[in-house]
Amino acid sequence: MLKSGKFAVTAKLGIRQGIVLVVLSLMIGGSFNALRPSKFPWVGSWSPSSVTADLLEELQEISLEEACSLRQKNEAIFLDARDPGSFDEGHFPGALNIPFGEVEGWVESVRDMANTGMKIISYCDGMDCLLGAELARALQKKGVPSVKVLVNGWSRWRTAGCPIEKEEG
Amino acid sequence: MMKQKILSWCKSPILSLCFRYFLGGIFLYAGIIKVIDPAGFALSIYNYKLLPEWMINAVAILLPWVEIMVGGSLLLGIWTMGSSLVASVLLGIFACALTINLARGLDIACGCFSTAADAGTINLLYLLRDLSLLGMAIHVFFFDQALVSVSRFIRGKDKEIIKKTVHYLDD
Repeated sequence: MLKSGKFAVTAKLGIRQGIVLVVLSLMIGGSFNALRPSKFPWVGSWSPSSVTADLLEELQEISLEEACSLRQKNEAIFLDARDPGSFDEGHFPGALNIPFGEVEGWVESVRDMANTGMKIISYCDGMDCLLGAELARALQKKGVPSVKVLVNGWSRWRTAGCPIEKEEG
Repeated sequence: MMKQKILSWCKSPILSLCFRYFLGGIFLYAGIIKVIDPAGFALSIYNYKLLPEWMINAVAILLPWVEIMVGGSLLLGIWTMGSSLVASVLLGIFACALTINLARGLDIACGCFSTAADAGTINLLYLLRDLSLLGMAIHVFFFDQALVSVSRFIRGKDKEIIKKTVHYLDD
């Protein structure tokens, strides 16, 4: 172990080296970004609505009315992108809970459902919740033909008085 | 006797060398995948909901390079004291960010070793992983004696400089 008194010397040396390393990294990082062909902007727009808009760009949004009527006609499967805890507290009737990390395991069954003609609709909760859109995008990337997004689905669904379902126990 | 043996093993520069390589590899890898996809990494940072809007892109551009430099420095054994210190600070910050969002219950991707948004939600294991890496970094800071390192190779005969950095690490 360090002898007392020497610690200060070591720490000082470490801090000095650390600062130089960080400054060097920042310089390299800045120059690299300036030189790379696809420059990444230094300041981006990150308000929730602009992020949602960006995410929805390649995706199709579905209206609450349409989703509700598809549900009544039993023509839609809902995918709940929230965490299992929130899901258990209440979700769309018959919805499948597919949180973030579990997309992979669901691709095939969702694809099969889509191929039977069911509409696939993903949702989460809150205007700035991106999980539903990300789930839709991930599924489409993996070959599910069409996944629509119901933005801020859970809150709107509840306030509109559409039927909901809770886990027993 | 036994206790002493274990203690000396814990302080061993060889153990430190293993940690150094392991950490170095991890930091280098984590940095490179983020440099490749700054937009994906920026989205991960945004999802943590900790930084102001104007900082997100800048951090996404610069942080990966700090990771790469730290990784490179640890692997090559140049300025390992500085890089293990920076690594410790970074891992400490990551631990705080993870803890805050675990407490908030946000379902977000870690953004640690993947920039994909569907890479897996953060949970307690991510925090434990971060903390064990932090332990390694601290070990390297205190016990690394620049074994198998470029510093030692370059300065092989320059006992004075080695002494200056590592002599007082001896018991």
